[in-house]
Amino acid sequence: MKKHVIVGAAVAAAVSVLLTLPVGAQGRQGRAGGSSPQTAAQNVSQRAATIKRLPDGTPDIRGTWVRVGGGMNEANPPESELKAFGVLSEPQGFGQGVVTAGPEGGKIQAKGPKYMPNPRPPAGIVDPADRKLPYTPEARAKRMDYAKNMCCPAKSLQYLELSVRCAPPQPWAGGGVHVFQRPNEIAMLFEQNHQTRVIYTDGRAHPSPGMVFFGGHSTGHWEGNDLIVDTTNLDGRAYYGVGNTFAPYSRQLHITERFTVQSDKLITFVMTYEDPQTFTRPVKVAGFLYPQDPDEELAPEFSCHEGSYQLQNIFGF
Amino acid sequence: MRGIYITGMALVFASSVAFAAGQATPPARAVAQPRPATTGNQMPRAADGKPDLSGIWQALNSAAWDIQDHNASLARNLGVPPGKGVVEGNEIPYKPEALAQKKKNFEKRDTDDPGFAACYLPGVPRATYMPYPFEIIQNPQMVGIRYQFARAVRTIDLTGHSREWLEGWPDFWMGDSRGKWEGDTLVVDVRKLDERTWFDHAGNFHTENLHVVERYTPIDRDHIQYEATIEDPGVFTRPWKISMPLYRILDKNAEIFEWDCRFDQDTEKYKDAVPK
Repeated sequence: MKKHVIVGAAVAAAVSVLLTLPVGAQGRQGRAGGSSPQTAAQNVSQRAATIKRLPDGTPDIRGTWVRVGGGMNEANPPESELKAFGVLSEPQGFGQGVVTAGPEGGKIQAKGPKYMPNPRPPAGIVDPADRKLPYTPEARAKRMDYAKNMCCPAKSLQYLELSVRCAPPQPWAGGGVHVFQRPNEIAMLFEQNHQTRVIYTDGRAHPSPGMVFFGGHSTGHWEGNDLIVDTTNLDGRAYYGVGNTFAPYSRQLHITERFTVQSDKLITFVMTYEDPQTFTRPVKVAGFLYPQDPDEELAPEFSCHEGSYQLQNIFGF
Repeated sequence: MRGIYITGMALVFASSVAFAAGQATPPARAVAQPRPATTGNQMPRAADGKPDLSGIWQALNSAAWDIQDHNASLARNLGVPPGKGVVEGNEIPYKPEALAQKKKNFEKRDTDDPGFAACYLPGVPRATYMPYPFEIIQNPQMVGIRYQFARAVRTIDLTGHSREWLEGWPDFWMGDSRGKWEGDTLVVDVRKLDERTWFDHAGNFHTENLHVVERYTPIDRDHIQYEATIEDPGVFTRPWKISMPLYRILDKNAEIFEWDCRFDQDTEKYKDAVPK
């Protein structure tokens, strides 16, 4: 007996719409409120219990984590300049992928995760304070061109939303993340689209700038309980939900992340996006990781290309 | 009757919410020449005393084209390199009707091979001997493997998590792997493998009832003996076994780079296409 498994993009479109429709929910996800990441982190750290350590003294972050935030969801006013094109919400950027919005309009989780921190640290854009992305004129023009031509149908392959094509969602992918840690590297194996990421902590250099990847190339080092990660060699294209707009990064995009191990149960982080071709100033995005409940099952495989008929359906061959 | 399963993002979406909510004795054949263990050159050990298999490895053979002894042949531009097989005894014990299917697959291998032709996740055990490197990274409770080909990934749970919850789920291209240590050997039990992968470019195939037991045994610091016992009563008359050494990649700063060849194939195929 044969089973047909329709995987990934064909279905991703429908699901992405689900994910992008509940604008209010996405606003929630990205809401940073008035508190600064530092203040919130300090509040959390005051409650911090213990930090496991490896023999070399670095915090031991091995295990399975769930990420919240890290996305570039902008504040989403009704007067969005993209509304005219039927665009449903604002770009989500490299941090996209936390599957949190439900079909009813966005309860974050069906049941409360065991280790969800309370209060929650900041998640989403924290700088600029108005949570609007400071596009350069060139980037804004590129973005509008994309919005005009991406849907539906898209004008051509280059206007197709990348998740439809099963592009690797990177450097962050959604769902749970298994973290492996050794003195020379930290490896992250993501649930979403079998993405992986390695942060080299052995002092190696980035590859030559001409080598680009959706996930870029990451190196890092520890400063006390903070892991500082430097990511370059990015492809410049990013991954958005259907109905979203293209954030026109360039290959100059440089991401710096500061992860702070607050406790065995909480890692907060702030990502700084610098891309002078795209943004007039750096953009900071916050988020946090908490441990998956050990009683929960491990995430199964998330394949994408293998069952996708999306491109065939769009192009007719 | 063909059942339709919808998985992928929809599945993950649902699952994310939910989360928040006997071996045969094949003919004897010396397929490997195990190097004698030398003191001072043994596989490093992890803090828990187990061999630490972390590192970048690669099989150096032509099994991805054909797991049995094979001549050179022309395929695509370059062709298939000649090579000795990795099947113990060289014989794959197909049932007669299955052998006929294998021959059909062989005839259409240039277009139908889900690995080299479509860049799909290669399944187990083929992922191990695709002619590209892979990284093993080991935690006490889980072993992760990152393959360069098709960005394939496996997580091998070592904690004895129940598999019962997987009942009713569709199969997975890379299967569901559960591991345990037997002495210095990492033994991995792989089930729920999707029927659509092939063992090689020559069309050797299986059904959804494939059951693979892998054994990773350290030879020395830079070599692992890999063995896989393959069982599938739908296609084979008895279990059979493949084995090969895996070689540590010693290049300075070796890495498994992101390579989505299916994405590249699609880019080429649709570069001038107009949506209908």
